[in-house]
Amino acid sequence: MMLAFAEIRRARGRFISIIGALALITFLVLTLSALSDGLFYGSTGAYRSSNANGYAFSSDAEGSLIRSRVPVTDVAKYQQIPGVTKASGVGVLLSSGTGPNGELDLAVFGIEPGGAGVPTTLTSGRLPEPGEDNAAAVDKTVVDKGAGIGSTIKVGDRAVTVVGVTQDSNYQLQPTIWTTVPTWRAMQSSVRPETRGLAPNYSAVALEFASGTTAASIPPVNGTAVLSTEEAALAIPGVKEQRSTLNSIIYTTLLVAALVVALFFALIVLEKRELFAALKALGTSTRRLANTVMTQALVASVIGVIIGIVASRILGLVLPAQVPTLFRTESLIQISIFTIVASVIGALFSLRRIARIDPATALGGALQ
Amino acid sequence: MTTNTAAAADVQQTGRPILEVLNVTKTYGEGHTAVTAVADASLSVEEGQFVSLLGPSGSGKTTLISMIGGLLTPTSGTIRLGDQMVSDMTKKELTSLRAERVGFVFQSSNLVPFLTARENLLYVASLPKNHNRKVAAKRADELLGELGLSDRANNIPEKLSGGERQRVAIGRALMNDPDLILVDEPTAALDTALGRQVVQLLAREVKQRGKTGIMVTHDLRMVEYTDQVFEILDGHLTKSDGTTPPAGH
Repeated sequence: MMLAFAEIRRARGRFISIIGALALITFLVLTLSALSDGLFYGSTGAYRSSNANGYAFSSDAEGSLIRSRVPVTDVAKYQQIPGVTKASGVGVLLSSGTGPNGELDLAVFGIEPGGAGVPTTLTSGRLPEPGEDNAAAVDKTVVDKGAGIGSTIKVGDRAVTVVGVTQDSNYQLQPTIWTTVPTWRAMQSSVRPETRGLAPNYSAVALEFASGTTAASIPPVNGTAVLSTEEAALAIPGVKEQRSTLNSIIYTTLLVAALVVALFFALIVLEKRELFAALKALGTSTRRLANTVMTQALVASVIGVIIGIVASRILGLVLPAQVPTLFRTESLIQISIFTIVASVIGALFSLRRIARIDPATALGGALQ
Repeated sequence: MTTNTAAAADVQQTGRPILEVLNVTKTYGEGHTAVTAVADASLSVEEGQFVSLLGPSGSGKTTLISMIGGLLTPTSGTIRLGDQMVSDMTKKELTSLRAERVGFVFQSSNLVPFLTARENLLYVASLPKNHNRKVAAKRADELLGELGLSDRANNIPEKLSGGERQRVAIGRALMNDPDLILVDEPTAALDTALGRQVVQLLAREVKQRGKTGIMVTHDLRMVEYTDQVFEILDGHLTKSDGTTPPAGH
């Protein structure tokens, strides 16, 4: 311990470089992860906050609410399937609307109050009552853009009054408003004239299952396919791809962290071969020298990670709201642990070198 | 330090030398590429004696001193230090032996560059399994005082002169109260006057403390401070009366 801390204190310069490198890596990984989480959570909130266990889409929609269109009669058919406790029509419309501060991009959800597919993350106010066709609950991001309980939001020629606020319930990075099915239909025919002549339909059927029932065990009604809510979230176009792309960048960066630390300590050990040989000659065990290096790797990575966390939080504060980032404590803890573990693994590579140092080389050279 | 007193009593009673090297050979490699670095060397040193080992580079003197100090294991022959058979020890046992019973002074002091003079002494004090911090701190201060380094104790080696560094190295070698002190070319990095001072200091410390010291050197002028002179040439060890200049010089 004595050697480990004395060196960090007195040979600060070289440790600042490794701490700096680890801080930058942590910062990069945390920012990427915040972006990944921001995209994922911003895209899938409507599903994750939903009380539904699954959704039935039209079979050609590949699980996308936007592409899907199911006849109204399918709801009654699903209600009769054993294992389904609730089935409700859900309508979705991506459109711009007008709020108190001007234009908004919105995802309008038409829901059946009291049914399935209803958000569970209400933080204030309430959801619209059945038949209350001039009211809507809105996601907190709509509130961030100037709306509040009592304010009016207009989509096409239909206006609704905000009666409640939900959180983390957005869809495809669009702020959601939650209104009744008839209001959704009216908004849709107002902004999408081509839908006016169609037979009454929903985007999908939200389903609630009895316990023990899974999406896969439900026999789908003709022309539809059933996905669990989790599957439906991943089926949102781009979500899976974004997540896997960002995750591979994150894992690659953690690998780089391990390599950087491995290289740093390989150099340190190489540079100190003579000293380590002398210390071994004096009776220092290999284990003690190994502990010294591992302690230094641990201390450097912990300090680096802390600086990286602070830097990424500062970035999170100054980033404009349009950039979808989400700093989750869970991801932060996970990434911190990964970075520290990667550093320790990197440092482990230098232990073989330490073990191979021959104390006899401390005296003049072994062959003389 | 019970082994010390036991060994000392042993010597007084039987006159047995503290260090005994018997027919030691060290061979590197095998078959006809084998190189014999030390051939059938025997020597014994009494407690309180400071001896020098002379020889040109490549003569085998470092190999011999490395085996005596438990850094190398002989191919054949025995080395006894007090009541311990150094030549029979495992690597792990040799590590503790070096920490507890052998003090080293290297060619280029080889102090830990990021520890102060005092911390360099305390570091070796922390190596033996049973160590007492308070006792070590007191001993380190005493040693630094005796070596005239009290006011330099909190400097790192970079801030010390070459002579001061070598004095710290001597302090480090004495720190764990070893039975044997091995000195490898202590004057290599110093000028003649300073080298002389360092060797004089070593000789004095060895005598005063009743230690046994072996100094490897190729500098004939340093021989006058030692009690016995051994010469080694091509791996063959002979005892010299110190009057004729050793071969190779």
